[in-house]
Amino acid sequence: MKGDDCITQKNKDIPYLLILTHGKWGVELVEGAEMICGNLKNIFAFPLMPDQSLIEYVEPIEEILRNAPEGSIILVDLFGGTTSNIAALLSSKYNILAVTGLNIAMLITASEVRGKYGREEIWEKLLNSSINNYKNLTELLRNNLT
Amino acid sequence: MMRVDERLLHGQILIKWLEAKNSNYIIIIDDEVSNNPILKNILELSIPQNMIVEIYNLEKGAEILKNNKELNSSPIILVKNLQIVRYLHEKGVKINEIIIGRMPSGVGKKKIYSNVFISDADIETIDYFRREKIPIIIQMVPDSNPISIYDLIWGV
Repeated sequence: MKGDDCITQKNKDIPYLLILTHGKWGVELVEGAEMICGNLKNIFAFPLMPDQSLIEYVEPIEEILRNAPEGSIILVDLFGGTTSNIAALLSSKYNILAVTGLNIAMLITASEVRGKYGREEIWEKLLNSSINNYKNLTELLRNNLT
Repeated sequence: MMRVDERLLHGQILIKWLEAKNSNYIIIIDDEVSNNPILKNILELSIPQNMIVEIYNLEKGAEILKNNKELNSSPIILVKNLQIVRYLHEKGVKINEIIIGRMPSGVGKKKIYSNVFISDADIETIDYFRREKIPIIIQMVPDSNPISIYDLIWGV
């Protein structure tokens, strides 16, 4: 599966979001985020499949990265996993922000803030979007009722 | 434990194998990683604090493993392919068992098990270990069923 599977519209000015996940859930995640935000532009999902060699996986990502606008971001599912090892390698080679801990809140935020802020601010916003999304609903409800 | 996995240090190792083997010691033997400070740095980045990871090139790795007595605990040794294991064995490293986690697909390789693809050169290497009477087991994570590669290729 290639990254292009996930791209809805390409626009040369909007920074890219590259999504690196174990298996195909990154592709589904984009579709889920689009249920909330409508069509997302310049998003590429790269599912890492069990039988893939590292070279097979990296090549199509690099092809996209070579033409990526400034401010593009790599979003990775698991710190310490293969996707994260590869993103770290790519961020040392290309001028790009790479972060781990992908979730739907982070993806939506990344899509909204890309290109609008510097890297540190963007990381702060991505992190906050994730943290603010973690709630113990049961407890929240109980506290609200008492 | 000697493990063949093209992805070397990643989730399966960090989440499953270290606990199963009750180990906090990993040795990676790989020329490419050992000669590339960035790759080295990346692999060291994801290591939990109480863990030791050592990265050697093939030559140095063989030397270290041969003098196994100097190692403080039993390490998980990670290499990318079977040919490296053979190199180590031929250099005099004692190997009790080889665990295959993943050998990826590629040109001229055929699938013998899920996530295990072998070339003609691999078969020759596997036969070498068969003659040396060293078991080769396919096992992705500790809870998956161990499969003998000799049974798969030559039948039970």
